[in-house]
Amino acid sequence: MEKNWVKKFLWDYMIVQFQVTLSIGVVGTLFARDVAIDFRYFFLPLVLGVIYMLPCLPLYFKEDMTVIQVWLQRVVELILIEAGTQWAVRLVFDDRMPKFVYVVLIFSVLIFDILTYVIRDYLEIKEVDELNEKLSSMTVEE
Amino acid sequence: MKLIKRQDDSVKEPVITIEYIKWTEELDNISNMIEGRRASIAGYGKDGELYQIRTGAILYFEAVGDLVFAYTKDSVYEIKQRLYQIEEELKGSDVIRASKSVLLNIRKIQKLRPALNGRLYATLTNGEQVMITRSYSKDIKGVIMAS
Repeated sequence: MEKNWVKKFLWDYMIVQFQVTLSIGVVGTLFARDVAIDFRYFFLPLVLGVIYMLPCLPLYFKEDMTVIQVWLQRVVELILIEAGTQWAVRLVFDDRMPKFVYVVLIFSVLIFDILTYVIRDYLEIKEVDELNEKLSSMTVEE
Repeated sequence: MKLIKRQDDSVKEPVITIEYIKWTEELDNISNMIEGRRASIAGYGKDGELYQIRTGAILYFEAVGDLVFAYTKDSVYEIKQRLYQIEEELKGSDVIRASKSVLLNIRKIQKLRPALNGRLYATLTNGEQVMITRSYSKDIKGVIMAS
């Protein structure tokens, strides 16, 4: 089990919520700007976030996942987020959202999902570059 | 190398500062000696003979089943201790846990490379690559930056 997994879980949960809220927010702003929605639906990302985190649990409990396992986990997570977001938008907007928007939503969720990984990878690369700079002054060769 | 001794009544205890351009093996030995760290560890070579291996020369320790091995640039030695015991003895040194089965000497890391899922690959000074798992990568990053 990963150390400090609770902290990591909560951090990832916040990121997933942000991701989902942003995708629905962008699509709603573009295609249903004047639609009034029930304030109860603002709590949807909180509930959906918990569901979306379920496929992430193996990441915290299995230390050495293989490349295939990691990609499988990401695909399952994406499918769950797509399905959940589609359901959430139907629930919130009902018939007030044009049909083509549901297709746009698929791409929106996909783009933001990929974006979170790209940003995470970019930040990791920057961090590792700093570490390598530090290592160049530390390393002792025989 | 210059040695400067200076009396200072304002300090509460003796302070030793090492100023360097590049960290060398000699400085490593001095640092280990000052901090009272274990300078060597006993291990059995391929010829079955017992050797005292300088800890600064060890690239990493690896547990394979019930056996623990120490890898240097030119050789591998079997250490008759468990990995957690070695980790405990070398606490505070440059040897840090990199995964469940590996203790890594951070001064032997030439380069780091990010891998999938928060892991890191460390290329050592002998060209070997060792994986640092996600659980331990944060600690190793912290130790490197603090060094």
